[in-house]
Amino acid sequence: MSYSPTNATDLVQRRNSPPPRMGFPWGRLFHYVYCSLSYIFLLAPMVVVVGASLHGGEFYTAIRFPPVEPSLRWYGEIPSSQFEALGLSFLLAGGAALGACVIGIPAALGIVRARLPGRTFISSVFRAPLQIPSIVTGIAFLQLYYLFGDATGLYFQGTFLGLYLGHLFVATPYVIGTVTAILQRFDSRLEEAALSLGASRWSTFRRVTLPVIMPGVYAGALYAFMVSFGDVPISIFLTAPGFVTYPVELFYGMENDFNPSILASASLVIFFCLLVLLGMQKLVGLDNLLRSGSR
Amino acid sequence: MSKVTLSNVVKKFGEFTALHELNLDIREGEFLTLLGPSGCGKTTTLRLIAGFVQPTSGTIRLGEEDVTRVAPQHREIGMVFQDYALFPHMTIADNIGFGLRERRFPRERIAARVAELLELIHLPHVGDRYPAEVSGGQQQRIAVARAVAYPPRVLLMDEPLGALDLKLRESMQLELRRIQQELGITTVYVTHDQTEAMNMSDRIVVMNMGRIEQMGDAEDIYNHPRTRFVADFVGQINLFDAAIVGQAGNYLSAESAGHRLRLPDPGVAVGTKVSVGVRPEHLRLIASGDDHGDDNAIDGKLVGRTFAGNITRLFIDAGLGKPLVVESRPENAPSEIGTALRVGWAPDNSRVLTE
Repeated sequence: MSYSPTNATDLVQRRNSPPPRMGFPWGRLFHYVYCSLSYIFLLAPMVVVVGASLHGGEFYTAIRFPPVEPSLRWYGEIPSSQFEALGLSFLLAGGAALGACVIGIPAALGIVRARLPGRTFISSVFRAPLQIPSIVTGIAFLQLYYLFGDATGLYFQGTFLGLYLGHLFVATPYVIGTVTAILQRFDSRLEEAALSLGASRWSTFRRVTLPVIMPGVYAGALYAFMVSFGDVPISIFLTAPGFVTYPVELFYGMENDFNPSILASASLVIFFCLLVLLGMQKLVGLDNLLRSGSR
Repeated sequence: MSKVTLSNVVKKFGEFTALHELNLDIREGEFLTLLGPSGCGKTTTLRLIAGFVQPTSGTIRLGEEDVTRVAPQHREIGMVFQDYALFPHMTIADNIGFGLRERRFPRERIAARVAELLELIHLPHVGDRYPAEVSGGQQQRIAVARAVAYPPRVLLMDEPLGALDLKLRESMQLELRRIQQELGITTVYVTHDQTEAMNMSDRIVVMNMGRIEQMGDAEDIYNHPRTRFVADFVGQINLFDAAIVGQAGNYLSAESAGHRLRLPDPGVAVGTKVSVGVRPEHLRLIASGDDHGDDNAIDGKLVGRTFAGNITRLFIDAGLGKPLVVESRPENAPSEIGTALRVGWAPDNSRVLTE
């Protein structure tokens, strides 16, 4: 057959030959191996930490995995200072998540909705804390508190407020980010519908806008909590002896006299977090969270 | 429910004028459709009545009250959106009862009204479900129920059937009309679909480029289009240019591409260039030797045909620019492309358009 631009037979290669037989499922094998390796990579450190915390034999300076003579003895030797630090960290992280929502939701609304000149500039300013290395943030806050203290006599370093402001600074961009993302997909007709039904601006926000963007708020708050809870570089500058966050306490512990009680307390935190996640899923229900965002 | 009056309403978006001096009286209890292509200003008009946008100048009245500067939440309107805009996080009962809850009615009164409305839209058992759990057609009826739960002064609908498939759209047209008539609610309906407009409306307002082209009931608009735009937009029509060359009794004689035509006289002077419109269903094939009396007859040749079940459309080139579209019974339709054919129609079925 001669070439013609409409039938383009040279492009059709396989139609007249039998379709290839199914052979050994290499693709599926690769899929399983790849997934298994990913899980091992993610879970192995936790398995080592929890496993090594159960070491009951002789202890020198390095961790032992797998544990020899498994026992729970190091769980009894967790110093009380770590529990105090844990309390402070939860308070701080919860407060940072809450504060991040209070600042982040209106900020996201402004970034997405307001017709401000320089909107992209404003939104990159709000993102800036993510781009500054945390250690620089920590030093900057410390410097700020010294300057402010010298000028006014009010020193914030080593106080809860001082620490809280530092954490809020790095936590807020996460809420802004997730809420901005969900607001960009928000159907503004939902708000118009509410207004047309006689709802006030505030009522429209509270009963329509907020519930619909709630999945973004939850996600952002969770990030904010985790960032605050796990932070060392900022906290290390803003804490004081006797007033330390949990990761900083662990950090000092590792540096000074390392023993498996640190691993034991870390394991407790891992299990506690798992319990909280399971509990939230049972209580709030993941499907409920998802429904409020589905459209 | 009340009448709606727009007086000298102008709406500009920056440099662009979306509406030029619009005057519109919507009667109490009437189903009025704003019909036009996208960008003609029909949705802007609707949103002005709703209060989501403010006019650049002019006034809007609901009943006797001037609502030009009243916020949407205080206008007591009902609005149905193309994609329904049901609240995804609320049950259907909560969606319908939203307006009543906002107005602080007692719980039992709201529940009773919601049940009544679910009955009205023939969906009595879906109250506890969420919008995502019912079909598009059902969401549509729920959106109507929500809009009318607190009796609105006017019900506004913005292409509410646009997202549905053809069959469902046709049955929903009847359904919406039934609900509107049962409630006797003044309704403004926006669509670009002329069949939808003709099926449902008491009156149709045809809009184009921010202006009203023509207002009237469906028959009036279809049979007596005032402008080329209306003739072309509403239904199918063959439009071609002609020049008036003389007068004969109550008729004009005109010439178009060498064809002699007789046309009804709408009061046009000899020498005027006009457009002539003839609906496909008014054209018929006639035998070439026939005496066709006072009818118009044009010779041409077949250039295409499409089969549509009950009719076959023939495309006949007679040198008038676009081919003439003729609707013929399938069994009478010639099939050979290139066949010479003669097309005829009664002069009174021609529309002479100067605008």
